[in-house]
Amino acid sequence: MTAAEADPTRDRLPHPAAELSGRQPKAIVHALDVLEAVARHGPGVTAAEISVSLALSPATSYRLLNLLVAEEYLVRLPDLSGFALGRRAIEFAGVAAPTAWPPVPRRARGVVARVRGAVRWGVHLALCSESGLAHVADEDPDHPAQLADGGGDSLLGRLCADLRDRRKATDLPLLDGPTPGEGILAVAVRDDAGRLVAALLVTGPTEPLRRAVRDLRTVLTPAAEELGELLG
Amino acid sequence: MSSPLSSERTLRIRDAVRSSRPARGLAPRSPVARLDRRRLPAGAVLTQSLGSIAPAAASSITPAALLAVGAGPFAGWSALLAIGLSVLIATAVNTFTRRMAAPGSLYSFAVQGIGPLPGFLTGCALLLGYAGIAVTCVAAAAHSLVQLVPVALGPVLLPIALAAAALLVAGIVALVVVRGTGGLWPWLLAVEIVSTAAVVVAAVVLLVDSAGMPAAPVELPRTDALGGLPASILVGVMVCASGFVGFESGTALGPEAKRPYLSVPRIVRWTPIVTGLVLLFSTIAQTAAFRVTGLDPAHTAQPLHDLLGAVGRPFWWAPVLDVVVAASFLACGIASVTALARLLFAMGLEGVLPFRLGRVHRRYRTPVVALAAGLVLVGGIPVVALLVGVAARAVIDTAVGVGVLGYTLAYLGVSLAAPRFLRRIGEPALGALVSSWVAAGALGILVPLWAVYQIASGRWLSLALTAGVLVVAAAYLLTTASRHPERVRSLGVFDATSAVDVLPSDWASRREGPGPAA
Repeated sequence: MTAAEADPTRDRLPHPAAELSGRQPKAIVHALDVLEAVARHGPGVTAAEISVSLALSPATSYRLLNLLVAEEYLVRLPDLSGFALGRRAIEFAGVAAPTAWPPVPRRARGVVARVRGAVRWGVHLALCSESGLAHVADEDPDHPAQLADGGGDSLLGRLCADLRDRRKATDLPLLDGPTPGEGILAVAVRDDAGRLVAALLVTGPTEPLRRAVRDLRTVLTPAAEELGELLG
Repeated sequence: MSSPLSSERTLRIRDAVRSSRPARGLAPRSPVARLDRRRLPAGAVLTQSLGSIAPAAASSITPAALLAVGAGPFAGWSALLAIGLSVLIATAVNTFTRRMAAPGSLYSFAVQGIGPLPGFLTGCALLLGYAGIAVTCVAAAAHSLVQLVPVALGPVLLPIALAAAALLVAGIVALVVVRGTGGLWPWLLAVEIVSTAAVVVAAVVLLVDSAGMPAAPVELPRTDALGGLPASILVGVMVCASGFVGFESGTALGPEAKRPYLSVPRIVRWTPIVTGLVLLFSTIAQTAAFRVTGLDPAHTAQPLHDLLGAVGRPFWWAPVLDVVVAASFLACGIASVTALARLLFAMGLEGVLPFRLGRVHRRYRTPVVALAAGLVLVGGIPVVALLVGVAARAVIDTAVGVGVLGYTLAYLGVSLAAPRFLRRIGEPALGALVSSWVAAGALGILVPLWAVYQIASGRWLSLALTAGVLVVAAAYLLTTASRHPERVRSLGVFDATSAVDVLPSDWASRREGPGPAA
């Protein structure tokens, strides 16, 4: 199966030439096409696949791909043959730019503060986006846990993805935290439609935290429900 | 009329990007995250490449050496062919610099193309190149410093003074390199520009003065050890190579540079052309001047000096040029050691050399342990050699020999690696393939010819040193491969894309803290 066949959306798009009025710089159009093709194919698409799917000569494809990598719209994956979207493409499309994170309402912060008063662990709030990005919205000032914003491959991003996949939370799994010897507990915060919007996090030394999970659930579950109403 | 950036198209791309799957399985941090990634401006990378070439020093000394090889009035052809060769090598190097950034530069590139053992040998050849030229710079700068002393030093004091001066130069180099050239590069670039301009002015003066001299032109000696003008011209290309080797060294700063895939290829492409033209012009001027003055190019210690004196220029020209060339040597030492430290750092990070070499300075995030190891080599060799009474000239000649041979062997390695690398990643661009093949073929003829010439003219020491190091390196790698096969598999470390590279920029800066420090 060729790359072009693998991509059904491609046929429905107008051919680049249809939009050209003759004097337009073709190189720009081709570069934008290459950017779009990498986005549609997903990470790992190769130069040869791009060349075939856009009917560009191999030399032109190599040149444009290298240009887009040089300008940081694309990145080469560690195998050096596959491509993925780079920082500038993501910023260009405005995917969950940091300023786009909604501010946390004061009442939601109040809920988090109340949980902090009730337990002796670090309590934090992280927002999760649909595109797999995560943002530390409210870190416990008394128990900073070195949590950081990140994408699907970061600790928080993985936590969010994990919570999104596990719709019915019957138990609270204890995961390894960002620093060795520390554990992290995550409770999903969902809106009315059941979509994951945030995660309420508890951090602390792994073993004592493991023993406290049962007691924590009685505090965290109602707090997460309340946060869901406020953040949803 | 719809523009290429019509709102319809923009929206379509935005939607495609938004609905795209994020890249999964990326490491959280780059393998070389300990270095201060993506900070250096293009000017610093340019300064690194220019510094390694040392255009002022090369253009003032190389033409006489070229004439001494015996191509006579055809010396200009050697310089022209050398520019052509450097363009071909630059194309092979840029095959990699457009696609990866590695502190080990040609070493890591070669491993990606031709595998661990040939790649490691390329790396060791490059190490000899950096170290050889760095030793040359330290010895030459020390020699210039001692010449500034107004009194004649006796046979007891002279070696001590030279060794002390070499130690001082090595100390200055260490101070600059450990802090990184991030803040100092405008000054170093100014040194390169001023010193090169001074040599160009001197060449113009020589050309004008020798045209106006009444003396009948002297036939330049066309003695050649290998017999035949073509052989002399080809050997001359290798002499000129000493005037462009190092042009790729900006590559070693790739991971630390902003937009490395944009700036590094441009710098690698243009620096050898520009500095090559300066060398060509200087060669033409010195050829004309040697012909009218009747000086022997093989026996002038400081050609530009002696020629300006012979055409009747006032005495103050000489010290000005001395200072300029000495500054150029110092900048060259800084650049060579900067690249050498990055190469040793990469080998330490992989574990093929002690892991300790992979540590960085706590504050400056420069590879400080690798720098210390490099300095023992680059400072220790000239200091000890000068102290035991070896003439500065002999130290310089041997070190240049090792340096040029090391660099050209590394260029051969990378030229052989480029086509195989392109095929492996599925991007066999025809132009790059052909350039790399031609470069590899040309170096495959020139390097052995150069070796034969060196033996024929009795300068076998640099050849023996280079061969010895490469044999030991091969044995070392084969032993390591049998004891720690995992270390050999990790060879060729480069700045692989990590999760931070696909996140918006203000997030990346939050996540990427300093790595383990020394």
